[in-house]
Amino acid sequence: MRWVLRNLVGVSALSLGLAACNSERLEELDEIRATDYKTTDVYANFCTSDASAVKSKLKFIFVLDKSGSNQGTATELGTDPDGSRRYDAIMHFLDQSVIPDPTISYALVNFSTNASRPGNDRFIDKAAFETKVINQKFESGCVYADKYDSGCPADGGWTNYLNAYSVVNELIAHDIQQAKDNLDEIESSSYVVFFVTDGAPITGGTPGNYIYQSTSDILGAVRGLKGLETLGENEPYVDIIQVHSLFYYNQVGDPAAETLLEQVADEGEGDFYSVSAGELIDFTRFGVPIREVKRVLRDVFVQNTNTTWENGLLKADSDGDTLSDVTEERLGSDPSVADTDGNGVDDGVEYRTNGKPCKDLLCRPGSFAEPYSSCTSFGDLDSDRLNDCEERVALDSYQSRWDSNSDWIPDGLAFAMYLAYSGNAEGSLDPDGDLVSTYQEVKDNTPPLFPNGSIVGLKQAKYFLTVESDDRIRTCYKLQVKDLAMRSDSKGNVMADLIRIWVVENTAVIDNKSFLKIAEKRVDPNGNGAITFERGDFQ
Amino acid sequence: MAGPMSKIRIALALLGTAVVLSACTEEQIMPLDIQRATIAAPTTANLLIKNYCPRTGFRYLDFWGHALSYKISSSQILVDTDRDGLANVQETDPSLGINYLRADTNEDGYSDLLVYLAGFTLEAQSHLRFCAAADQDSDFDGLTDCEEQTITHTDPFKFDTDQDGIPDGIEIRKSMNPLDGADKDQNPSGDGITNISKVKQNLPIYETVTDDVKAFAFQYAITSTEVNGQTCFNLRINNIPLVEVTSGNAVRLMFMERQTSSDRYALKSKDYLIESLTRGIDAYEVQYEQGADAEWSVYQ
Repeated sequence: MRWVLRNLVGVSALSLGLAACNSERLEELDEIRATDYKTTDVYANFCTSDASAVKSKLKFIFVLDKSGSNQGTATELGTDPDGSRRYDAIMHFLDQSVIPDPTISYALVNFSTNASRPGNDRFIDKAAFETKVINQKFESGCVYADKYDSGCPADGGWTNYLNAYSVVNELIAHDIQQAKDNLDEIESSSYVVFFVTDGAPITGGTPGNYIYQSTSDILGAVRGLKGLETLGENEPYVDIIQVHSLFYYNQVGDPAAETLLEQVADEGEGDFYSVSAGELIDFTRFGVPIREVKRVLRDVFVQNTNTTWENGLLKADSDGDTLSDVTEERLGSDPSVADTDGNGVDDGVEYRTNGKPCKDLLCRPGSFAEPYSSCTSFGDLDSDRLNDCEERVALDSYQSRWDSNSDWIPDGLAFAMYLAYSGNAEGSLDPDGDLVSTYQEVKDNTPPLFPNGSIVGLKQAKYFLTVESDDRIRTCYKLQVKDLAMRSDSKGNVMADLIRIWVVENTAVIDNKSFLKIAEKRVDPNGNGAITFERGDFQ
Repeated sequence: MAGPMSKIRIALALLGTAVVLSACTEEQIMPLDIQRATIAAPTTANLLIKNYCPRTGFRYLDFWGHALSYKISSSQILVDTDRDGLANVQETDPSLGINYLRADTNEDGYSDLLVYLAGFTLEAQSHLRFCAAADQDSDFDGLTDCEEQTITHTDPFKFDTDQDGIPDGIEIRKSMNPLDGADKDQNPSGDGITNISKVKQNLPIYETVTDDVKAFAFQYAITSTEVNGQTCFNLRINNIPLVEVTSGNAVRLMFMERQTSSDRYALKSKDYLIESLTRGIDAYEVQYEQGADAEWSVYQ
């Protein structure tokens, strides 16, 4: 009884589709009735990526106090008259890394009264220091960079914390921008700031009547530094920004300054140390970011790029541009070429953003014209199978984030399922009211925008996942997906469909980063219809 | 390639089965709980928490039991002697410096589980932020404050940072994401059981659960009862698998409540040891004790 009812609903849905069709579409309907699907079984062996496989850079930024109290006065002993406490500590830290690591770099920001005045530095090996403390040719904000090779000074006078933080902020922002300008790949960095001072944040006044920078302003500036982690589209480029603080003194400490520096470290997710006279500054005591963290599997999706859902009907899409062959014939674009007019933006993207698959009415190739001439890059920076031009100019999603709306459905897959790829996450919604969430429907390869119950003979992809091995480096899985819908030719044979597997991983610990890797393979129509992916197939 | 039909296996102590020790200290030389063997069906226990009454002003939200002494992986029950969320067999990699008898082997405030999950080598561990209070867990979610601040980046004072109903420590034990509320309803292994259901039933998240494995799911039953005019509950967990483990079978019970008049959530977490394997009784009964306010972690 229930079956009959469903069947009836299915028939009415089908005839609804028929009413709006021309004869071409009628033909196609015969081909794509759900009951006539061919299916394939997909097998895959894959592992989570090794942590070390991903490039991640690390920059140490030493922020050193050069205020007059280092030199001392006739009546008061300096905290570091010859610079040995501060600068030898840096040399010692640099010497820790015996093997040169191109992913690690160093920068120096001197601050306070004497920051921009040459001299008052002490280097055991000045040449070695300058070789190691690189990245000093930083133009913006560092006005003295060319003049003084010992670092980027923040000379706000006195012991101006805020001035120092603003220079650090500019330095990091500049670094991030450089990474963003690289459209070939995404390189992320960790930034570790060592803030080293011997005094409270004083910007003027006289003994007993000093002018202090407020705690809230200082903590706000540190928050501002941390804020660079997520500002704009920074996220893919920044792993973590950490601010450590260190207070050094002679005989008498300064509890107020030390409390403040402890708060700075807390705000900056760093450590705080206090170093008294005779004690060496040791930068290795600070906890620094760990760049190699194991991944855990978040989810895996299997997609047939040569089928596409249209109003509850699964249709052939020979060129994988998300427009079915029949629709392309109706619209005048070439069903076998994903980007008919060759303007760098696929027919499906153009159709959904402009209402037509090509700029040119006749879909002539080579009409490389507006609005896409503003694109300079047609690569796919985030590897989500939507190119940078499509994402930036047409779709308004992020070219550097494969999951622009953080719903854990990769943009290219969301696009192929006619879902929101940017804006609000909609994975947990169920717009078609069939009690299966959008997210789950993407995974099952059922239509998220059409009630499953109304489709006769709907087949959903069934996943079977087992753990093969698990250790510190990686976890390996064996995946079997049964009943993935396929195209078939007029004789009912399966065709050479391109099957794509999306593996989504994340680090649940340390930095909450997510990663995507993809494998693609064509079904061999002459084989047994099944397809097997091996570990090496995943990029 | 049919699904794996192997029977679920249970780990057995290497040396005999006669002695079940109730506690495990460092000095004792323990039989290796690492050896695995197949048995047809493990003993199971039923647990009954009697007369659980929500605190004044709060209502019952949820009740969980989390198995501490084993985990299920690759269709096997694997023993976890130190209850740190890693099976003993997982604690054998020498480069990690962890072992199966201690939950935080080097006592640095970062548990073996996180060391393993992160893949930290000993060298990397030495770069972790110094942890002043290694045992401090302000929100009772099973993660120390240091772990939450430095490693998981969850809120040390909020037991369920992403507010998906699964306490942070449990998400980490299950390799879920404590910063993503959407993962509770997902089902990466495609067996139709959502992550949150699997967590409650103590089933593996990233593996398709077969009927053999499903047979070892925790089963919950709740009945209301009246105590001094107040609506209270008897909470029951049936079918708790018992493994041969030198430290005894432990279960973590978590009571979650929500304030009736506001968006405040409360958690009480308590570990129970099922010491006896006496057969023939329906359920181990525990009288619920509300405990002092300090035993509850509350956030808004």
